[in-house]
Amino acid sequence: MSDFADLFKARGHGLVLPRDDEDAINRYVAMHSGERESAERRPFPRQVDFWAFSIATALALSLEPREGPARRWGKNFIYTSQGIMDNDLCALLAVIAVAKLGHDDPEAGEPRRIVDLANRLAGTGCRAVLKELEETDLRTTPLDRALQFASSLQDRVRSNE
Amino acid sequence: MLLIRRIEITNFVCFDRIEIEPSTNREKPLTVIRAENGSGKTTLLRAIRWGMYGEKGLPGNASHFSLHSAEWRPDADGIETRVAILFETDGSSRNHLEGKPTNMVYELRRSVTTVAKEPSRRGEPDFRRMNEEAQLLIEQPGGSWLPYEAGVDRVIEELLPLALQDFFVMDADEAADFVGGSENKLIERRDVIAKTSFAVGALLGLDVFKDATERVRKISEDFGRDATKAAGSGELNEKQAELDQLRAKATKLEEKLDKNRHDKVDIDDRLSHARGRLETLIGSLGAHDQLRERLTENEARRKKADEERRKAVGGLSGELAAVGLLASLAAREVTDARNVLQPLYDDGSIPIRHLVFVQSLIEKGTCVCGQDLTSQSEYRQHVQHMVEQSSGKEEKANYLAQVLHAANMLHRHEEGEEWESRCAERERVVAELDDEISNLKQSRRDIDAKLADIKDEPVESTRNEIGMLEKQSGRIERELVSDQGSLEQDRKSIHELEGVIRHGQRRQKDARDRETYQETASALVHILAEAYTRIRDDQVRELDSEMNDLFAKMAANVVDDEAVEDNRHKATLRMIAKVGIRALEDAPGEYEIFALNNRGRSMPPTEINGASRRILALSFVLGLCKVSRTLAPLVADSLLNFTSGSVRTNTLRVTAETASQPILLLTGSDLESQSEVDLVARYAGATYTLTGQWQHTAHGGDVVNQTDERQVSLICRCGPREFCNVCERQGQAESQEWTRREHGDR
Repeated sequence: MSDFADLFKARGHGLVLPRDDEDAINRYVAMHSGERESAERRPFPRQVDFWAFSIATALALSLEPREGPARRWGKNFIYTSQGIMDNDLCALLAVIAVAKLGHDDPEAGEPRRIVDLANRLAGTGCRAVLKELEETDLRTTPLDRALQFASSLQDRVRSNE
Repeated sequence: MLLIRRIEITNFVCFDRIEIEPSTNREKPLTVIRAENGSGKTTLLRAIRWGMYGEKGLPGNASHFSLHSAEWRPDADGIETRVAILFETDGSSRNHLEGKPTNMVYELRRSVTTVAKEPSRRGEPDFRRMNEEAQLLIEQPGGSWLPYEAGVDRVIEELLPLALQDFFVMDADEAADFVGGSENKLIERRDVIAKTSFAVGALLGLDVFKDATERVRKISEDFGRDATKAAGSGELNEKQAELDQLRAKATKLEEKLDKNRHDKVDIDDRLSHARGRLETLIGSLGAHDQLRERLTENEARRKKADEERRKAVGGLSGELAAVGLLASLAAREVTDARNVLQPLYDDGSIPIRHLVFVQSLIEKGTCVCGQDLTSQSEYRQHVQHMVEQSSGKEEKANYLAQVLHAANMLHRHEEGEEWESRCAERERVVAELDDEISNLKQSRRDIDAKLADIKDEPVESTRNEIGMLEKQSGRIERELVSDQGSLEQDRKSIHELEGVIRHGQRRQKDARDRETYQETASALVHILAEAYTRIRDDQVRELDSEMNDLFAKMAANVVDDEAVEDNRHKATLRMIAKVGIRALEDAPGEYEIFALNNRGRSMPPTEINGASRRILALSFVLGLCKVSRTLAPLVADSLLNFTSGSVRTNTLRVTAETASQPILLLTGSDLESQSEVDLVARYAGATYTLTGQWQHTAHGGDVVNQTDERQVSLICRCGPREFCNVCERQGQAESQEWTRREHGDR
């Protein structure tokens, strides 16, 4: 199933997160720490992991993709051509695109269109994720809060089924 | 034997007038004077010392020490302080007056008048003492008293020398000077040796031997000189002058040797202290090394646990990016995609499988219905057109088939349970590691705290000190050997010269006679020196053994004595394996008390606690009195301080059984246990209690009745667990253990 990854790698499509939330997002991403900081404070190993989690959050919360072209509100943090996404994630994005756009949409299999949809989903999911992480309960770490949030989203999805 | 029969004290500090009659009963020799702290025990001791030795018996700057009470207001006549001590001697020991071998009774009376004085500068006392008188009276057969012609000082010096005042009239703190001082006051080893040696020399009579030997040697030399003169030879006179010079040189050399020996004693003492310190430090270092090992182990375990935790937490954070989680959150979309694509797959639209089949039929040239497809028939063209149209959709159909396949794969994660159980397992691991790290942190804090208590810097400096002292000791040792060699050479020369002179003297009869005298005197010197050495060795050996026995008796049962609450005290007593006295090898006539630990190392005073020093000093005092057969009173203050349990009881028993007239000044707490009360009942022929009127309840104390308005200390005859109108303290009347004496004597 390496075909999906190859599909996305073939051309560089920018992965985007909201520009306004850049600093807030970077607080929770490990690769942006000057030193090797505990994963408890920075629960997402890479920006792409935060991006993917934001997409999943948007879907779990049934949020609509963010309106407007991503270049207006977002900032590229990486390009797909850099091989940042593993095949599983690429496959998931392809599945989501078929579900959201319909199998007969001529662009449903276009990486550009799939990434655009994903970026816009990340654009809405991102705020919900940050809202959870920015809770100031001193007894829990951002990692605890992220895991709890993920678990609560799973419960929510199950109950909606 | 010397016995104190009565002590009368008038106007001495807090005593207006008290009279004590110590026990003279041989069966019950003990006299107990009980007094709470601050009631006048030490003042009583000072009064006795002043009575015996006058100003010389007072502590510190004697002229500043006031004998009168603090309440005294100066008047024209001043105030007269008097102490009278009635004592008797017999001929049974060396402590009798020369030429008086039978029982004699003496009264020593000392008085002084204190008058007011205007201090001329700051800090000067506002009094002065005048008209001090000391008188020694001897009882005559008819009962009358006559002044004793020998004089007070000489008699007292003969009976109880001033230098031995700590020995017979002891404040236990001061008596501890024999073993290096009390806990609050350490004194130089040289001073300890001087004090001990004086006591040993004086009481064993060794000083008499030394003096006699020296006197006879001088006489021998004088005889030799006279013989030379009598010979009348110029050459002999020259030889005699040479001999005198040699002798003078030898004397100087002996003095130098003596000084170097003392210096060596000091250095060896410092070496012993430093080695003891090093031993203690190295003991600590052993613990230090173990702690360091534990610390290293702790650090390694901590590092490992931190790393494992970092990995576990990293794994946990990786779960946020796990496709299983993402798929479960996008479950609805995954399901939608499957629902849309699965029918297409089922009808063969994705992927477009029938195109391959149709292509094979065209290649074969025959349709399944039998229609010919080989020729350029319309039918073949139609089929080929249809195939060409479908092949444009093949890529997309295959893609959708892949999406379906992916959706089916992701569907397996939808339940999300696998993800949750994996997270739970990782969280459990993190929690376990957190516990381990917390324990390691606590353990680290404990180790750090223990390490902070152990200081290893002094080790190196102590080693350096030891190295330096060993060098100094070695240098003095070499000097001693060299001087000893020179001295022996000089003595040899002296001997040769004496031979030459003697040979010359023989020519003349008168000279021969004097030579005979000189030879006789020389022989006597030799005999005396030999006798001195033998007696000294025998008696010191006997004293050494006696001290060890007495110490062992006093420290007996300490190992199993649970009543000993002071663990340090118990530990020290256990640690002392042997005590005794030894003659210093390099310094003839000098002695030192020692204590060896159970590894045979000599323990410096700093390693011996207050209680142990007290009983060690007491072992020396009692042992020396016994070996020298000195029968004299032992007035002791604070003897049982710092002791407890069986040590206190044993010390009281041993003192009562060994001293010829023990007069002990004790506090109530020294006599609190039944065993001490029983001992007093068994051994005490006289008991007294001192009560300070300033300790009345009205002044914040616990004395129930104020029987005198003045700030004086009163005396009654109450013993342990007895009280009277004078000495009653709060709680005694209600206690069943205490008995009221109706007629408390004053």
